[in-house]
This record gives sequence, structure tokens and C-alpha cells, in this order.
Amino acid sequence: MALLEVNELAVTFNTPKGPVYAVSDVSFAVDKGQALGIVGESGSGKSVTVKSLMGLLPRTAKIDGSAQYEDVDVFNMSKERRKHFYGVDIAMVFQNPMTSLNPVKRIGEQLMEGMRFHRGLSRDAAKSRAIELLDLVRIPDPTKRLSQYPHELSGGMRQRVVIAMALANDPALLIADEPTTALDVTVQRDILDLLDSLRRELDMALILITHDLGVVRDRTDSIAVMYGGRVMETATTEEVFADTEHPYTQALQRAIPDMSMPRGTRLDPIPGSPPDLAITPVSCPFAPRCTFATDECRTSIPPLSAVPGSETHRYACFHPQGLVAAASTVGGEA
Amino acid sequence: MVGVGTRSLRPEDAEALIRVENLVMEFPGPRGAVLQAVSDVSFDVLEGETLGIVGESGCGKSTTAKAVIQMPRPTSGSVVYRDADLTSMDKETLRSKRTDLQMIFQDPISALNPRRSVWDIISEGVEIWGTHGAWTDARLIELIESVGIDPQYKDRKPFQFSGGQCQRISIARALALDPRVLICDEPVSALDVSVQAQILNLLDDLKTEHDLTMLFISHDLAVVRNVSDRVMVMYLGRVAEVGDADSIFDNPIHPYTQALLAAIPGSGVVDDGSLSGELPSPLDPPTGCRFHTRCAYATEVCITTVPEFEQFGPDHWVACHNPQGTPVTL
Repeated sequence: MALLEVNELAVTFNTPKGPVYAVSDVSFAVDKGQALGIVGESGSGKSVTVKSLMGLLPRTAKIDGSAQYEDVDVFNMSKERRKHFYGVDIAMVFQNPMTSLNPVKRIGEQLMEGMRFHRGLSRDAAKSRAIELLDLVRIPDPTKRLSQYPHELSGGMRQRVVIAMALANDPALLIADEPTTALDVTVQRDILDLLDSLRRELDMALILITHDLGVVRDRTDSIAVMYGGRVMETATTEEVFADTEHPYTQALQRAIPDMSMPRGTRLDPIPGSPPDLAITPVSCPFAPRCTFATDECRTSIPPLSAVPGSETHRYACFHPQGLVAAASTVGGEA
Repeated sequence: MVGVGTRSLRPEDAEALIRVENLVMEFPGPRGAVLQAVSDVSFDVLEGETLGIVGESGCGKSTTAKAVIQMPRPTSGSVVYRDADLTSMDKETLRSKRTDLQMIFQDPISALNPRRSVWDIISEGVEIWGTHGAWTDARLIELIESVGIDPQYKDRKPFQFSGGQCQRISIARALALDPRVLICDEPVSALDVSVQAQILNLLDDLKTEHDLTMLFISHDLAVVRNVSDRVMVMYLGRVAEVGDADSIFDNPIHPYTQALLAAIPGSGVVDDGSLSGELPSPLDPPTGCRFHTRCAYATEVCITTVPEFEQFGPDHWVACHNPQGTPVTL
């Protein structure tokens, strides 16, 4: 059974200029100890999706659909349950570690705060747990760090502290929203490797949100590609890279320069700009930028269809480009 | 200040458009300390060439590029543009030279004045230098079109455009003065992946159209490989490896370059842990080779002596005591 199951999630923001459809019809599941990558650009709805799960959206947000975490209905929790849900069952790591940390409080205090609140640990017990956590996220000299302030640490070290804070109460699911975007490639690799090994060590599920397909490639079990607030394609990570069905997923792969390309290679950009989410969704959000779009794409929303022979691979497109297209051509000829 | 040397510079008769020698950039640090941002860096850029500068944050790549346009003036060293040394130029002469050297920045939205229209932003330079250029309104409109902005939106303000469009506007502003050199400081890092390729292709087109020479700074090695003729890898204020882009990316010699390439997601290279640990502080950089504290191949000599450039190919220079390849003599 899935640890977290999200069904037909929709998030609408009511703004003075009218509703903004940030997330529409998003469904996914994460199993215990598994890693899901949510890939998308800004405005794809990936952050809004997880923020809705974390109860971090403003009151102007209208949430529809359901999210079931074990036996908890995430969107209809009692106040008491909520108090010990976030940070205990699900914890989150954000993009910029400097804004996640309080600049005027010592690392130790910030680490201990959550454990003392949720578990009622004594100061001493919390302190030794804090040292244990810093050690777990491979911070050298953890005892000394407890009395330091965030500004005394490098960006990579700060992100490790934030991860340690998130792990303080042994969450079964960790959500990491672009945890390495603000960091250098070399530090990025360290942090991603750390998340990967922690997930295995602690048998924790992970939702990794990123705009970079390369980041999720070697580190997740499954992927959901989002665009314009919708899931475009979802499958196991292996399936997505072996057989990319959605034109957007394909375009995303082609648009990024890659080290194996000779210099001066003309890139294959995705024309146009990301969609305007203030318009009531009646078409495929990618249609205006898609080379394969037809009238059908501009007038109706493609449902998630299954790739024949796979229980996990689904795509929302009228003109799939991978094996599905190849199979239908062969079928047509026969 | 001991540096890695000037052997990587092309001969004088190659007529470099920009020739930077022994550039040092230091800033006052806390409690009398000196922040050594750039320590004795030399490089040259030939006309029409694109030099990519890569390295982790804090390696001095932006400071080096900014030193070229004397923003701020370097602590010591020379920056020769054509035949004139910009470092010894008086303020007014330098100002007029700067029209030749333009820059675009990482965050296109904060690079544009939010209260001014696109037209004002792009035409301001031409107005100031009115007598110098032969720019007419019609040519400016052409320019706006050439960067992919519809001229009918010229009276809009930056917030009415997306990040990618703002970067196009910054590019138009830089090109309005007909520069010879375009310095791009992480021009696509803040943009969405789907938009990055548009801007990279645009820069490529404009480079040909306007005969530009470019300095291209990025932490994204795949982007640098795509645009650069030559690459300079910097570490903590010094050059580790410089030369022909293909030669460096296909056959990296410096352990730091190798580690950087291995860190790219999906590189398929197993992390050997050689780059674990943090960048040391530029307030107190390590002695000898500054990379020795994180280098898997470091030996005694790396701690005591600054390595000098050695040649590893027709245009491939590496400053390392324990290079991962065999030097050549040409």
C-alpha cells in the first residue's frame, strides 16, 4: 500500500484578477522507502502541489481532491493531529537554506526546538540527539557546530543542517523542494548523494522536486513530469528515459545542452513562454508550444492514458511520441 | 604574489583583443584581513573568440570578468584592450572605452530598472553617447526585434515580461552601443530550462551578426561547452586549467577539472570523494596549490609550491604538480 496517495488534486488561487489554476487533476503515489521525482519548470505547479500537502498554502488557496497519508486524510486533519503530523510524519527541506534557518539563533537551538516540542525531550537528550543528527548528515565536528550561527557555515553545510532538522523526528516521508538549486554542482552532488543514502539508511520515502531531469535520473524510483499545473507523464524513472512518450518530456531533454554534444551544437529550444495559469484550463497546457499540437489539443484536455503493457507508465497527450506511436503505426499498417 | 604564470598567453603577434596579465583583485576583509578574490590571473581573448570561465562560487570568475571592465579597478595587473591598458586609463577615457565592453547579468529582472520602459532602458546608452553612434530609432526597433521582443511592447515595463524576455531586453540594451566584447555573467542560470536554449541560441546568432567577442561565465559546464571556443577553469582565485574547449572537456588533466566534470548529474562517473569538503576561505587561502586541501593526488610539493603552467596539447595548459596526463613540448 502506498504511504502517500494523492488523488485528483486541484489548487486554485483566488486573486483580485480572478482565479489562477495552479494545480489541476494531479494524482500520484509514493510507497514506503521509495523516491519520487517531480520535475517541472517554474509555474508547473510542482511546489504548490507539495505545499498543499504540507499545509503551507495561504488561505486564498482552494484545495480540491484528496491526499491520504496512511490513515490520515491530509486535507481534513484535526488540529491536534496536525500539530504532530508535520515534522513528524512528513518533513520538508526548502531551496534556500538561509531562509529556512533563523539567522539569529544558534544551530543547536534550532535543531533541538522540534524534538523538544514533538517528543518532549529533555535539554540534554535533545542535545545528544542533535549531535547524532549532525553526524548523520556528515557534518564534521558536530559538537562545535551546535553553538555556531548559520552565517558561520557554508551554503552546503547550511543545507545539511536543514536536512538534519527535517530528520529530527524520523519522518517517514521527506519532501525536498529544489534542495540543491542554490548550490554549486560539486556541493549539489554531495547533498543529493546524502539524501539518497539517508533514504536507504532510514527507510524513508522521498519526494524530490527539481527542474532538472538530470538530477532525478539516478536518484529516484519514479518520476512525474508536470507542466502548467498538470501531470504530463508519469512512470518509473527507467521507463521515462527508455521510452519518453510526452512531447514536453522529450523537448525538455533536448533543450538542455549536454556534455556529449560537440561545441556550437544548435540547441532545440522550446518556443514561446510558460502558460498563463489564469485562464480556465480547456486544452493541453503545452499545446501552444508543442510541435505536434492539433485542434484536438487546443480544444480538449488529454486524459492520462496508460502505455500498453506497463502498469506504471502514463502520459497525458493525444500525440504520444514514443513506443505507443511506433506500435500504432505498425498496427495501422497491419 | 606568485601565480601560475603567463605561459598560456598566445604570442604577441596573435593580436589578442583582450590581454589580461597578472591580474590581482583584493578586497579588505574583517579585522584587517585581505580577501584574495583573484590572485595573479593571466589570459587572453582573440577577436571573435568565446572564452568560457568555469568554477565553483567564490572561485573569482565573476570578479575576473568584472575586472576586465574595471568594475572595480584591479588591485594590480594589466588589462589591455586592443592597444590600450584600461588599468592606467583616466576616468573619462575609460568611460568612452566601456561602450565597447558590455555586460549581461544573471538575474535579468533585477538588472533592469523596474520603473522605466523597455524603450528607455534600451535607448539610454545611445542617448548618452548620441554623437558616437549612428543609431536611429528605426535601428533600435530593429535591434529590439532581433532579440525576439515585439517592438509594439516597447513602452511596457520590465515586470510585464517573463524572465527570459527580460534577459532578451538586457541583451538588446548591451548591444545598443555596438560593443566589441560581450561579457555574460551566468546569463541563463536564472532561467527555466525550456527558455535557456532560446537565449543560448540567440546569443549564438547575435555573436555572428555583431562580430562579438565573448567572455562567458557559468557554473553549468554543459552550457559552457556549448558556447565556448576556449575554457578557463578557476579555483579559489587562480587558474587551474585553460585552453581549447574540446581538449579540456575531452581530456581534463587537472584533478579539479576532472572532479568538476564528474559532479555533473548523469555524468556516469563514480564519485571518488576527491571533491568532498568545502571551498577554503579566500581570506586565508591554502599555501602552494590552493586545491591541495581537497585534492586526492596532493603531495608534499603541493603544500609548499605554487604549480606553474605546463603544456598538455597545442592549446592546453595545466597548473598542477601531479597532472593526470603527460605534458608535451611543442
